[in-house]
Amino acid sequence: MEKAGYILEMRNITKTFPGVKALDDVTFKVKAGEVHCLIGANGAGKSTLMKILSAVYSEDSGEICFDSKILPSQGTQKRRNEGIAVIYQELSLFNELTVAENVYVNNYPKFKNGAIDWKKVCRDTQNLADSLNLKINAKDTVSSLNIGQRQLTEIMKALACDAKLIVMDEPSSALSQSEYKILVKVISDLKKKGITIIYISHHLEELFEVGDRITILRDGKFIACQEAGKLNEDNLVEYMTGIDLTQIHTEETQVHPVSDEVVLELKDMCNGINQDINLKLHKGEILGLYGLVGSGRSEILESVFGTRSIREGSLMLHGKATDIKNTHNAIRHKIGLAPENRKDQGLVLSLSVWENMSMVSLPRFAKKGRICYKDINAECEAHKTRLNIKTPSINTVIRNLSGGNQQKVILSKWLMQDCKILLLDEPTQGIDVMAKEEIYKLIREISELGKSLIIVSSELQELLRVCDNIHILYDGRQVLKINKSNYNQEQILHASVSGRAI
Amino acid sequence: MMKNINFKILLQKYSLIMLLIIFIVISTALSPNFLTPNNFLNLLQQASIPGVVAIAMTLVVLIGGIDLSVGSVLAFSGMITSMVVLNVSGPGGIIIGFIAGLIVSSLMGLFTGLLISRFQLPAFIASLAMMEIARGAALLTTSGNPVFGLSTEFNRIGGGFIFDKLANTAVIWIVLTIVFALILKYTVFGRSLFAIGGNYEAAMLSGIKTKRNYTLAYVLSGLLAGFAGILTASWMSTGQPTAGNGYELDAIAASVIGGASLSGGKGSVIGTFGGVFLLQIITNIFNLVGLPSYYQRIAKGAIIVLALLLNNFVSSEKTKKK
Repeated sequence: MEKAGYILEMRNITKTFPGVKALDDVTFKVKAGEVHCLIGANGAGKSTLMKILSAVYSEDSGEICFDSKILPSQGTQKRRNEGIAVIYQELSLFNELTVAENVYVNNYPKFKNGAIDWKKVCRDTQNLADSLNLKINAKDTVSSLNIGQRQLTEIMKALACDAKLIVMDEPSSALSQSEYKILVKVISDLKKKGITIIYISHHLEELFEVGDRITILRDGKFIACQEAGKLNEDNLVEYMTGIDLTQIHTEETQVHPVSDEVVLELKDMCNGINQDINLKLHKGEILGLYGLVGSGRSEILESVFGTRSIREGSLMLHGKATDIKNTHNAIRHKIGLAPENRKDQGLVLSLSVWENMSMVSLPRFAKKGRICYKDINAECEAHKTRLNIKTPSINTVIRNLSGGNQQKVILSKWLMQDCKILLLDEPTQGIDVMAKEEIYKLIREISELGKSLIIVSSELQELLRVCDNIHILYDGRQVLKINKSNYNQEQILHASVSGRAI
Repeated sequence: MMKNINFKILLQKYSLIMLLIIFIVISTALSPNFLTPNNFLNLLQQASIPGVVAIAMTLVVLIGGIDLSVGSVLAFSGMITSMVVLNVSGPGGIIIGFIAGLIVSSLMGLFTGLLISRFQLPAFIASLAMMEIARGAALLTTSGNPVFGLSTEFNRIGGGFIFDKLANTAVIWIVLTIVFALILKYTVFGRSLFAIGGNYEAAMLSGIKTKRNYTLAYVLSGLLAGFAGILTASWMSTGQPTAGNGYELDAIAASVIGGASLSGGKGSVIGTFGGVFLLQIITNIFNLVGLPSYYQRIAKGAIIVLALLLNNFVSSEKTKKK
C-alpha cells in the first residue's frame, strides 16, 4: 500500500466562521484507490472539510492538491470536472426525471446537430447500472425509487462524470440493513475499478467494514490517521472524544436544586422516530438532549409542541395526561418552541423586530379587538433592553439583525407569552461567542424564574455547562441519562456514538 | 452618501405617489379636460368597482395566495341578486337579494380557500377552477341572457350620487379601503395575514391558526367580489352574466403596483387604491385624447413593468448596501 501515491492532499487547511474556528490547520491525505473514512463528533469539522473540498466554502489558508495538481480555490463546477464528486446527505436528484436523465443531467451526450442522444443516455445508464449489479431500470422516474436506490443513482451520476474521487456523506443513515449491504458491495466494486472513496459515517462498525484507513477529527483539529485494521472501537471513541474535562468551568459544576414538581412527563412515548422515550421535566429544571444529528432529538420537541403526533405512550402535563394536537394547543398549555432553523421556522424575515417579538402574544394586546400599539411598543422596548438586543429600532426589519440578536428576539417572543415550558432547539447555532454567553446567562435566568427548559444541542460543552440533567439519544432511543453531579464527557460521547452506555 | 440612501428610501416609500403625480401632470398637459372636478369624480366612479375587487385581491396576495375567481364570482353574485330583485318586489326583495348574493359569493371563497389550505391545491389552480365554475354558473342562471327591468330603488344604490356628483360606489370604495386598512393594522387577524404570507411555517409555529386565517382571507375575497358584483348590477340596472371579465388581472396589477409582493407578506390596501387609480388615469386620458383603446392596453402593460422596475430597482439597491 505504501507504493500507491496520494490522490488527494489537503494541506494545513484553516477555516474560520464568525466566532468559531471550524478547521484549524488540518491536513488530510487520501491514497489513490482506497476507501478512506472520516469521522468525528458533531462540529468536528468533517462537513466543513468536505465543503472546502467541493469548493462550496473557500479555505482561509492551506492548499488542496488533487491528482498531482494544486487546485485553484474557487468553482464547484471546476472541481467536478477535475473528478471530485460529493454525495451529500440530502440528495440532489430531480424526482420527476428518470434515472437516466438524472445520471447524465450535467453532460448529456449529444448528436452533431446539438440534439440530445436519448438512446445513448438510456443505454449507457443501463450498462452502468448492470456493471455495478444494481437492480435499477434506467427509465424509472426517481420518485418511484426507494432511498437506497436513489443513493445508488447519485453514485452512478458521479461515475458518469468520470469521477476519480467520490465523497459519501453519511450514505447509510437512511438505509435499511439490506440496502446497506448493497452499498457495501457497490463500494468494493468501485474500489476494484480504481475509484477512491471518502466515507463519512457516525456508525463506527461500518468504518471497519468498508474502510482501509480512518482519519479522525475533533473540534476542527486533525487527531489521527490510522489503518482500520490497527484500530478498534474503543480507540476510535477515545480519539473522537479526547479526555479533556478541564474545559468545564468549575463554578458551573455545582448542582443547583431542582424542585420535585414534575411539569412535563413522557411515558413510553413513540412517534415514528423516537421509541419508548421516558423523561421527566421538573419545575425550574434545564434538561439537555444530546445525540448525533438524526438521533431523534428534535423530534421529541416536535411531539411536545404538537407538530409530530404521538403514536404510543403518553404525555403528561402537571400529572395530567394531555393530548397536544397542534401548536395553538401547545401554546395554550404554556409551552414555547424556539425551532432549530431560525430563518426558515423561527422568524418572518420580512417583518420588523416588534412584529416578530409579539407574534405569539399579539392577542393579549388587543383590547376589544383593536391592537394597542402603545402597549406593544413599551413591552418590546423593555425586552430589547433586558435582553440587550442590538438593533437600531424595534421597527427594523429583522433580516438585518445578526444571528445572536435574532435568537434573542425569538426568546423574547416566548418570554412575552409567559410560557412555563420552553423548548430550545440548537439555541446557539451559528451565533458568535459573546452572544452565546449572553444566551446561556439568559437560559439560567429563565430557569430561576421557575420555568423549565429542554435544550437540544449538538455542542456537548454547551449542555454540560447549562443543563441539570442530560439524556443521550441514539437512533431514536434513550441510551443514557446523566445528572450534573456526575457528568462525564467521555461517557456521554461514547454513548452517543456507540449507542450503548458504559 | 448618507443623503443618497435617504433619497432612495424616500423614493421607495413614495414611488407610487411619484408615479401618480407624473401621470397627472402628463395628463393635464395632454388634455384641458383632465384636471377638472367633473372628470375627477368621473374617474373615482369608474375606478370604484374594480377598486373593491382589488381590495379582495390584495388580501389573498398578502397571504401569498392569488384569487383568479374574483371576476366570475362578481358576475355570479350580480346574477343571483338580480334574479331575486326581479322576482321579489319591494325593499324586502332588495335585502334578500343582497344577502343571497353575499352568501353565495362567500361560500365560493370558502370553497376555494379550503381547497388550498386543507387539500393543498396550488392557489392558482384552485382559483382558476373556481373562476370557470362561477362563470359557468353565472351564465347558467339565465342561459346567458342579461337580467333587465330591475327596480329603480335597487338601481339607486349603486347608481346614485351624493349631491348629484359623487357616486355612491366611489364612497363605498373609499370607505371599504379605510375599513380594510384599519383591519390590517389594528386586528390580530390582520397582522396574522402578514405573518402567514411572510413565512407560513414560522406563523404556524407561533401558534397562529394558519389554515383558518388563510381560508378566511379567501372568504373575504369572495365576499368583496360578490359585493362588487351587486354594485355592478345595481349601477347598470342589469344582471350581466359576462360582467367582471378580466377584472382579476387588473386587480392583481393594481395590488402589485401598490407595493404588494406576489410571494406574500407584503402589501397594503392604500397602495392598491393608488394602483387602481393609476390604471384608471391611463384609461381616462386615452379616452379624453381619443386614442383607440388598443393603445391603452399597451400603456397599461408598460405601466405595470415601470412600477415594478422602480420598486425593485430601489429595494435591490438597498439590499446591496447591506
